[in-house]
Amino acid sequence: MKLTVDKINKSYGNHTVLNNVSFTMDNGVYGLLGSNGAGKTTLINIIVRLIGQDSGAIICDDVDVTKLGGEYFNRIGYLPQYPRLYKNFTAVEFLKYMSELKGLKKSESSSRIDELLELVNLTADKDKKIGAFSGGMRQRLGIAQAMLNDPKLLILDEPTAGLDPRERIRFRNILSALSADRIVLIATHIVSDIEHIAKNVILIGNGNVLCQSTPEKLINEMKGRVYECVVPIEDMQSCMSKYCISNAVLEQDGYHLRIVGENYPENAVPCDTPTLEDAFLMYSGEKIL
Amino acid sequence: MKIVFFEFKKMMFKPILLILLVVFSVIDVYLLTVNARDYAPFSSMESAEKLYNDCCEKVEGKITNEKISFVIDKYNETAAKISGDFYTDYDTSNSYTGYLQSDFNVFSELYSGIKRVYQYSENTEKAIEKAKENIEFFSESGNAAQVKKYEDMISVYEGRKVDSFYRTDGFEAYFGHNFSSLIALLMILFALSGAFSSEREIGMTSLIFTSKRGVNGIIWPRLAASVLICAFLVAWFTLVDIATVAVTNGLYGWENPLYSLPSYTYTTVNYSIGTHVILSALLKVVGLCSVSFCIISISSLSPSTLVSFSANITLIIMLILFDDRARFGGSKVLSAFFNPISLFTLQDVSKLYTTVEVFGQSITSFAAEICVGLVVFAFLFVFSAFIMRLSSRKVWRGTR
Repeated sequence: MKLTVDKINKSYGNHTVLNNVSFTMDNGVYGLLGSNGAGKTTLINIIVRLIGQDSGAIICDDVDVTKLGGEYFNRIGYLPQYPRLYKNFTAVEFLKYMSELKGLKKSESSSRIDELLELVNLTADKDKKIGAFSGGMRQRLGIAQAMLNDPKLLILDEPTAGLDPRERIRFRNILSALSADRIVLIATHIVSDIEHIAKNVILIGNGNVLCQSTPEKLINEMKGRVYECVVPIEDMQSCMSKYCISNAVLEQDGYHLRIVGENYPENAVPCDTPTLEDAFLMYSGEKIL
Repeated sequence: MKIVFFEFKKMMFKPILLILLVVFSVIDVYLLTVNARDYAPFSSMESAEKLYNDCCEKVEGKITNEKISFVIDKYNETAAKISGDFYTDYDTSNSYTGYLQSDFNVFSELYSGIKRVYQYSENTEKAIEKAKENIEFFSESGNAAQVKKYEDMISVYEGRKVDSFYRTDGFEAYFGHNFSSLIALLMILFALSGAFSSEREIGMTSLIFTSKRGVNGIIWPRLAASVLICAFLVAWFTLVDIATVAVTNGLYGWENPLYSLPSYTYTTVNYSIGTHVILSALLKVVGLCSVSFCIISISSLSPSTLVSFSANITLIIMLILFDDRARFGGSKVLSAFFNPISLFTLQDVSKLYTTVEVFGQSITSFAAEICVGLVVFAFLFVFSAFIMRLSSRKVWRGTR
């Protein structure tokens, strides 16, 4: 499957949320990375057709999705931000309900539900009420519902928000397993969510696509752009306003800073292990104050 | 069909609703027990009540000469005992209840009850004679509408008779109890106020909208589920009320005509009490469904459940006040017929022979209200589906 986002524009009044956004995806995990308010959720909502764009098109296998009608929804699976689902349903009931909405045949839905519960490790909890689920269990159930129709495009909006580290790792592994024969688009502002599983990263800021590349390439591009230095405690405040600091650790000899960009102190030395987080900071041009 | 079940479960199977159902049922049973005891003759005197119950058991059913003789004999016997000076102290050796006056009161009640039933046909004939006189009068004055009205009245009352005697306090108490309708209204308010708004709050709307069936997949099942909830609530409270009255007073004579009940003597309908129980429950379902469609529509337009709940409770209070004003304000205005709440208390309308003019034709208020109620139900069903679709399009365009 191939999905093209073609020159999408979206404004609310005078505020431009998306400005000529274009990129193409085929099978694999894609990370849509951007800070809060960058336009990720708006773009996702346009891709899943929850809202309409002002101009531009979403093209699925060379066909404009508006021409695909209901058939398009057969091809997508979607997990929105912070879904709380129905508290008075059990996991199985919820998946049965969603299978009905997705138009699955009764004969195929039962086995599919069992299969997905196994995949997201909820088989033992399938008869528990969703109200008793932890945030991570709810997210995993959310993934299961998104996968019910075996979608070729799986879209997840901030899927790891509110999860503890263990749940986050578990979630990442599930996504990795699902990405072999479909597009998985993960919108997030947490770099570590996609750093190790995304084949491609789309950096978005202020409604524009800042760059689209593989994580390796982005990290390589950062070589010679990341520096480390130690500054006295009293100089920390001025450094924060001058440089783009990606990390600061207080130790006995002062603050150990990690600085991204062309602007760095004289005593700084180049760092030879840049990260995707450094690239994110570099492209988004944000200073951490 | 399965999705209707899920919609039903989603809206109805909430802990708060189940708790409310139990609490409201207990309150309903308590109030009905208190009210129903007021309807029961001699409820304040155990021995008199027992005597009345025993005698009713003896004479209930088809009226025979033997039963009539028994009541008249006992009535005369106890009447003779209290003529002139009589013994007023407690004495069980010379009386049934311990008091001569109480004995007389019991048989007097029984006598007037059986007399009313026995003479029902005769009294109705008198009413028909009066109606015929009116027809003659209005024919002479050329008032065709009034002539038609009295002709219709005669066709309703003609041939009426009551063959069987049963005590009536149970059904009188049952039909006089409207509190369970109010509870059903409150329950539906709690169940459906969040039908759409709570889904938006928990992020389910976007999952539904991005499914193959989309919003169209849930509109009709959700409306069908709300009808099921209304039917369930009405059936539940009807059964609770029937069971309560059956225990406190007893419900006798289900197959007797409705007009055998004292307060329905001049009712416009000729079916049995049992039929009226079923019909009034069905009309309550129709009325409750109409209200539920309004609640769902408001929920689909509301940004939050709190807003939806506030708007809906305001709507229900207004409908109740409007219905009260129309019912007790002296004359029944036609616009009140469009109020779905009026279907909850339709048994009051059926008590008397009242008519309304529709396109020059005179029809009974009872029939008119049923027809209008069904039209309002159908209209709100379609209208709420339209509103739900409209509100989903609003989401689609991203204006919310």
